[in-house]
Amino acid sequence: MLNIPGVESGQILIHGVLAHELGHALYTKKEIAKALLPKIGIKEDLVKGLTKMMFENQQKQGNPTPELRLRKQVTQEITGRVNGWVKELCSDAIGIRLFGPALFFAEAHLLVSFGPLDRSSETHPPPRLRMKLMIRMLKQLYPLDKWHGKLREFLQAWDEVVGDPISGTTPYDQVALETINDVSLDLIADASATATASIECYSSDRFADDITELAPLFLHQIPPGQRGGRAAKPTELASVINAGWHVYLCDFEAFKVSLHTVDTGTRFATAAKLHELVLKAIEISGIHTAWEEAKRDPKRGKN
Amino acid sequence: MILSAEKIRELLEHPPEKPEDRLVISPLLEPDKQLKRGTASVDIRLGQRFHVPLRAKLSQLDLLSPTHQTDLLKYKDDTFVPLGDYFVLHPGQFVLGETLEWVHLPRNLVAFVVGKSTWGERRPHHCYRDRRSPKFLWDSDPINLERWRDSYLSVSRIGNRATLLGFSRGD
Repeated sequence: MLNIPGVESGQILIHGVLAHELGHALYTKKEIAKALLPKIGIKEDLVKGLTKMMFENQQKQGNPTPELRLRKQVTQEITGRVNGWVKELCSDAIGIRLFGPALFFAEAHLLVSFGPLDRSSETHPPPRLRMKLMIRMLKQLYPLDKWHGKLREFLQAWDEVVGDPISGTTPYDQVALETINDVSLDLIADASATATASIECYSSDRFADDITELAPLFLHQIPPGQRGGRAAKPTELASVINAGWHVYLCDFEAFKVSLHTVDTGTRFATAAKLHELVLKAIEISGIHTAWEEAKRDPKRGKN
Repeated sequence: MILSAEKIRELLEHPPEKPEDRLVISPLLEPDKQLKRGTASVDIRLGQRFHVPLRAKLSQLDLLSPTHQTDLLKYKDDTFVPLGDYFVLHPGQFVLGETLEWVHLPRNLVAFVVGKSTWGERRPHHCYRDRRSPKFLWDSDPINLERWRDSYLSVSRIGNRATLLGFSRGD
């Protein structure tokens, strides 16, 4: 289930996080957990250490839980967190493979609007860890040195943010964080490749094509819902959203200049026009796809 | 000079390098049907969004009023109809619609919207009125369509070819 705050609902580019939800579906369908989780073992000494610390604290208060039961409880809490967090992280990793940088940009904007970067829950890892994984993957999959200077700056700024150590909200979170280390993040990235092996993924070449072909169209108020001249094809959702993000992050001023003055009063008004164009492009692509499907339906009408 | 369908097709299929110089009609779902050889226009389709004015207890719409946005909501009903579904226009009702296609014009072209004869003649129950015919376009947008029903109930299918768009080349 995806919840986008009401105030952000008109911001179509943020809907790039849909890729994360597709990731969940693939994580379940391809049974990634079966192969991945045994490789991410919880360190016994961490569990023992935490159990001992909690037991001692309870002893001081005069009402200790039997150590064996306490250890079982600690193991359950940590295992639950690790399993839930790995699921979320792997869904992010799959999303990066399906939608490319658009998911990273969308999550960078959305996650900071939810709460602090280090806040985690039993089911969701801290946003800082999620961003760390996505940046690691982007570095592996995309030639970042060829990206637009503003995109590199954006990524650089986030790279510095995720480089800081993450402080767990609870002792359980801290153990989960120590379990999901850099090696585990690489295992998760590899597992996402297995999950998307039979699917056409977004690639660095497609990203390069999209920012060359589609992004300039946004600057002239043309929604790029179709591509190709003679036999036009609907543009893929990932391509539209990636091109839209490129305009938002790199060419926003140029886009603003191209608009009528009534739409340039505030940054919000200008962004709203860009979101409208992105939505229109997705709509055009959707109409074209629906039309092609209807054409193949023998029961359809003539017109 | 009015452009022939062949010329319009050439402009669409072989777009210039610069986006600002391009003629864009998107989505063009059936180029062969919409750009018929020997004609001088392109058929465009009925879009999905409608703006239906409502009868409200409003003597005026004051643009400077602090309640202007709320007043507008009392005055209109915005409707989205899925592709392939129907929009029903009742007797005496007036509605603003839009085309399914997004149109972008280069600087040297002017476009004009004209009613489609098959809607006005072959289907007399299905009246299309273009109140400012020809309606000239210079912008990049879907085109607004104004429809008005005289006396019979009218049912329009979303995505049907509804009107014609002609192009004239300027200096």
